[in-house]
Amino acid sequence: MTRFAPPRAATERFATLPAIGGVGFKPQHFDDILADARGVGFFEIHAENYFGAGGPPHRRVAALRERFPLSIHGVGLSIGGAGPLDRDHPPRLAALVKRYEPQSVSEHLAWSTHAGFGFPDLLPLPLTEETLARVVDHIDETQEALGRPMLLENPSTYFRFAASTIPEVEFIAEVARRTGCGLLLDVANVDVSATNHGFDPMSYIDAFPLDRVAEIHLAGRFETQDEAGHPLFVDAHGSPVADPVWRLYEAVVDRIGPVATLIERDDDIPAWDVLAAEAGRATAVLDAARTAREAHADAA
Amino acid sequence: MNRTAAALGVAATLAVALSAAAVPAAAQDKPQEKCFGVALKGANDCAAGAGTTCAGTSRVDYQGNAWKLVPKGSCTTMKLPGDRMGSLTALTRDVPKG
Amino acid sequence: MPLETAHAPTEAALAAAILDTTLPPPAGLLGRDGGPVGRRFAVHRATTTFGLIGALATRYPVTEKLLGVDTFADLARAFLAHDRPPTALLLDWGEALPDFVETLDDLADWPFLADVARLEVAWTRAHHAAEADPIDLAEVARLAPEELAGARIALHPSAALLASPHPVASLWASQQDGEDPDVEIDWTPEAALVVRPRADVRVHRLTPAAHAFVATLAADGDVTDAALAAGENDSDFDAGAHLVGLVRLGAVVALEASPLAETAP
Repeated sequence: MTRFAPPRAATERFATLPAIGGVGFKPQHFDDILADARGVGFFEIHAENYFGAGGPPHRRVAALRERFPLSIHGVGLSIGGAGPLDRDHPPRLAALVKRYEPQSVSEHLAWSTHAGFGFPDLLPLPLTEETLARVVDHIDETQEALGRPMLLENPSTYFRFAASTIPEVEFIAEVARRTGCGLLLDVANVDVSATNHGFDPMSYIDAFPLDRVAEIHLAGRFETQDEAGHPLFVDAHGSPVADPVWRLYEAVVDRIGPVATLIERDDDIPAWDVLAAEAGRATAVLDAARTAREAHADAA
Repeated sequence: MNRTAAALGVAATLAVALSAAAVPAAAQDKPQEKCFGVALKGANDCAAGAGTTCAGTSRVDYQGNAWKLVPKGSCTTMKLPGDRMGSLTALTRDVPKG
Repeated sequence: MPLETAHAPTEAALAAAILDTTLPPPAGLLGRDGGPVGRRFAVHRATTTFGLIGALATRYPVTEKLLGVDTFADLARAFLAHDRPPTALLLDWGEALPDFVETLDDLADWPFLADVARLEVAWTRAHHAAEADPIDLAEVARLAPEELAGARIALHPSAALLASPHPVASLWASQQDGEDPDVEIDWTPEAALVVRPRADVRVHRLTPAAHAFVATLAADGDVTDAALAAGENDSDFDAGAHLVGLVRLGAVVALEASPLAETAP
């Protein structure tokens, strides 16, 4: 039975992207996007690629921003880190947000800096009361610098910590409750983690605070195995979204109604048409959900 | 050379150069280029971030230890010398780019 | 409040095992059903290492082309043992690679490589530099030649100069798309001026005299100072043509005249 979440307007305090398909922006697609981006409703950029002062990166984003809604997605703030946030990072992110006034700003539940070493990765943290307090502090600090709420994205993980005491969904829900942040639900990450740890992805979705979800991510994964022969999925962003992830996504949209949905592709990047078509598939799912909801409302 | 004499010499070359430069001709001075720049390697557009931004996320078998540099790139076929460079024209001639 | 929370040692252990691939994964990690974590942990090692190698390859495309992809990856790996980014922000990281290249015995037969890499550093900096509007020749022509002889300029914020005992600009140019990588190169010292007047970064080859001229102007010398410096390299140096050339390249964003009487001794 379909369970309807509160109206999506409830999430507009977190982000105001249109509830259609979007694509992660890659510079090599720029000319094609300006020529034809039918069916694509917004673009997302990785914040740190635009921490420079000017030049073609900013010229392109400024041109995109004139034509499309924009999401700024941080990949290096290290919100889950044990140490303090890098002093310069929140103000630089805030300056970028001020420059483009995006419809969404998001970051990850992960760390990427430790004691003077940076890692170009999204590294996992144990989920305990102490890490919860630290993450809350870091998000408070970030939202203060931004002057607006951000979205926190659920991670993809390959192993668990024996020291963890709080289930991931509860951890995320409590962070959101204490900080007032919105959430970015990466459905592909749910699928990756569910496969790697052997849990039911739909039970994760059921427990997730869906009323705070203001953006969805979809991406392709790399499939391999661990030493014991268990499947090991890697959040690789180098292939099309897999069919099981589409089915999980349809179930999520059925639950919560249309939400802005991004196709992430960061490796082995195909021609623009290919990504636009994937975003179009997300838009079709969202349109179908919208139609079903209107029919339901008319019948009621 | 006496600086005043040098300055007068410089002024003379400037007078010649400016009269030869078809002032203002500003429109012609602007190189033909897209106003957003070309998207090419070296632009550093994928290198800033974490995790999902660059190649390699799908490779789990890396162990990475011994290495020795045995160059096999295009340098090994590079020839010299030649005759490519003038003096005065050098400053105003673009080196082609990708 | 203590600087480290209870999980900080675990974070330190994770970081150490990512940096040193000879270490086993830290204790306290669980695979599926409590199973092995070796390959699971290796995902993060691979992502980190290939992410950093990829970042360097993106920043040094010509160096990579000259060495070959595999050799460049070996070079990058060696560099990682020597220099790592202090945060996950990679935009400013990797500029020490040219100095590192110069220390390697394996590359002693390639003495030009470090300067080619330095040119690539200048290219990336110019690519990301602040915007500024270049002046045009009309602005130059408003001044009398005598005033111009004592003028000072401001170069575009993207501008950088590089002087080399090797043909650094010709080498760089020969590896660009559409060029013949095997073209014969005149093996003489070259300097380069890198500047992004608008959207595109441009690399210009300079003679030693032209380099002295631009370098003097960049160091806040006036046009006559610059002409004298250039004249030491080339007695026939044409300062007027080079100043006009510099403006036409879009490399100049301001021109400040001062009367000859005030600058002459």
